[in-house]
Amino acid sequence: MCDTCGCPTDASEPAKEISLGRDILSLNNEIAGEVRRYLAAKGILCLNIISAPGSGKTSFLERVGREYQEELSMAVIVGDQQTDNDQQRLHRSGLAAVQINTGAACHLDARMVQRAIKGMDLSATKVLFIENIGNMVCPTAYDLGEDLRVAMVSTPEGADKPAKYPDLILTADLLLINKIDLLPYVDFNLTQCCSQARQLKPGLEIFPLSASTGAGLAPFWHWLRERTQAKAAPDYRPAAERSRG
Amino acid sequence: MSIMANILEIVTATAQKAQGARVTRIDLAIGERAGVVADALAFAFEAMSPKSMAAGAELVITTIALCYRCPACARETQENSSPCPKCDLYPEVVRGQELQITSIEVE
Repeated sequence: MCDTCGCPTDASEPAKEISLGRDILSLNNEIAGEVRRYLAAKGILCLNIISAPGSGKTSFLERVGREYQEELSMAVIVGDQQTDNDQQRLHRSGLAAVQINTGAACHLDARMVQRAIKGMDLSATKVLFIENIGNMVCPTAYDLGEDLRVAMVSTPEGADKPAKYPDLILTADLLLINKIDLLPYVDFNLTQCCSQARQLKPGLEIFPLSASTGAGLAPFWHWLRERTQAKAAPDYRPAAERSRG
Repeated sequence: MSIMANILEIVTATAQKAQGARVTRIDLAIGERAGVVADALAFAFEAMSPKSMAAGAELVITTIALCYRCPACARETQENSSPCPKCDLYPEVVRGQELQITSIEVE
């Protein structure tokens, strides 16, 4: 090839193979690393919540906001394809919230989160929740720079949800089982759900709770508060970047 | 689709750096548990590649089988539904979550 303008000087120039061995999501992961370092410098704990639509992510965050916002300052980045309904709901429960509308996309990526964070005042924030798009598959592939990945299922979805969506459980740090107030009315075996999830991921933290009654919320909050303190400590070291395989 | 957009972004940047005029082959390694379906990737490639440097390129997808390993004795298995018979520990995933561009061919 001509060095001046790049025109092909020799039509029979052989094709050349370039070895890459590069992760397809490496661009996303680089930005996620920037987000992680940015939040670590501010001592903010970041949680990425992933579930099916309707499991109760927003209701859970509303409840957390109402009960604990005074104790720890929290903010939310919420993703949906359309509308700012969730942002408005979260505002009403006292949480600072920023809505991302993804349009056609079925998940949040690190670039969207980085852009949202730049427009937020996080000076007093201790915990940043990212409420992902309702989808249990695609969001699991995208590191958003979070410290903890939270999987949520709810009792009407069935106890075999963790077994049916292993990618989510395998990459999660904790599992929230929501809507336990409905246990008397739905066919849901809590023991089976927990054992299937731990079979996939031994040692997984699991908190059964109800966003609508507040039952089971205190143990989760106690657990989260400990992690928040650890993150704000001066000797905190950011978690290793999430690696896939 | 967004995975394919990522692939084409990396492929185009790599080909441009190598001063290639077009990409003729893309080799991918996709793990069984990568959360990506090979057929869906192939479909997205057909839809998105014609307007890129990879127009007309061959897409070769190699699937990598899921493999677990005992964290203590390193015994490898294909499933993790039972603990290691020797160490009584549940095995961890070591292969099968890859999502990689292994190589490309440019001319």
